[in-house]
Amino acid sequence: MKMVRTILAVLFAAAVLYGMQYTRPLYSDITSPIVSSGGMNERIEASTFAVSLDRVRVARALNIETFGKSKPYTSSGVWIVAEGEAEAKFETLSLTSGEWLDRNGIRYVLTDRVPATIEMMPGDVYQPGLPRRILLVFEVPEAAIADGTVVVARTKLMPLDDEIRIATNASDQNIESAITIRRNEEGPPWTVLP
Amino acid sequence: MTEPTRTTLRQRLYAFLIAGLGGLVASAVSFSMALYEAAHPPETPVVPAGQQIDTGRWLVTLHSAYVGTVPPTGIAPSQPQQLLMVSMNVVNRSATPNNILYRVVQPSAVPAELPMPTVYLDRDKYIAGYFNPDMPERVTMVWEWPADVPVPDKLKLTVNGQIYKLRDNLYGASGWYDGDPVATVELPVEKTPQ
Repeated sequence: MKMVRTILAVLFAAAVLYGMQYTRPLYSDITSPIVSSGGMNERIEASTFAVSLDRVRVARALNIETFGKSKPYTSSGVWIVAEGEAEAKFETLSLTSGEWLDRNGIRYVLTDRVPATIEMMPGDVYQPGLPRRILLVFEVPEAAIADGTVVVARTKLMPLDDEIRIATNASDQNIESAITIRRNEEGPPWTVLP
Repeated sequence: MTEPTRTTLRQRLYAFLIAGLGGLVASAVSFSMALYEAAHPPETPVVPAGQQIDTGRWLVTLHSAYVGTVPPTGIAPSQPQQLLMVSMNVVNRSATPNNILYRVVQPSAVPAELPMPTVYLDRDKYIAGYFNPDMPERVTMVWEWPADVPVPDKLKLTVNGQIYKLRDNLYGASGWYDGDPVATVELPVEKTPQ
């Protein structure tokens, strides 16, 4: 009788553990960043920094003008150019991670094809109280444009850190043929030509 | 008087013996299975050039192999080098950007130890960065070939698979892990006259 009880207890424990394995949230969910979300043209506040986006444009090609030379960048998809402003709140920090999240949860990182992309957002340092213009350039397939979200975080690797998600108004109906981005010698490092 | 439920020394000795023998048998079985698998590696299919290979995370199509001294950037290095180049198409099938192609396509049975390859994006004629999900790209993978070793006429490449684990064994986090080779491709090496 005692043996039957022991066996039953072990089986019960195994069943509970098996059930928990499939119903508990994933490790990546437990340690996922703390999200603050919002829309375009509004200041989204995380606990340590704030970001706003005021313009998102989509084009089939990019022209990058650096030091008087223009180089075209083609893509098998489209280029998304997002402009906005970022500000640290209490301490100096940098924002090294930017991602485009499509409606299916697929992520596209900031492009590293364009030279000195690092000056567009990840390499800058944000001082409290001194907002800076940011420029984010993504390369995505056409199907990923609609309902896309821009995700900005201090780093990609820090669990339970702040993350800002901005739902954009990018549309796959309004794709320009090319956007020109000019690298400046002084002032803001880049200008997106209209 | 001893309590009737308390196990005697003899009983405990048996328990230890059985547990120890069981452990020994388990490790012997596991070791002999590993030995057997090492002695009978699974046959990887030989795939002709130009055929798409599904590795799990990537779709890879190997096109051609050739030897040269000028990398795809078109700028010859100051120290002359012999370069082994393989032209291929890649598509990232996962949900996150990735650039670890050197573990996917590996030369096998080469007469020299090769350093890490560099991957060039043909579209830019420059070193490739991240490959975004579902954005097909044509790339050239370049290995520095030692000058004192002749390049074989045929290059055998192993294409390694990857498996997706929703929960890994350590943290229960999801991720991609190296799997078994899924294909071997034999490419004739074009030796352009220098």
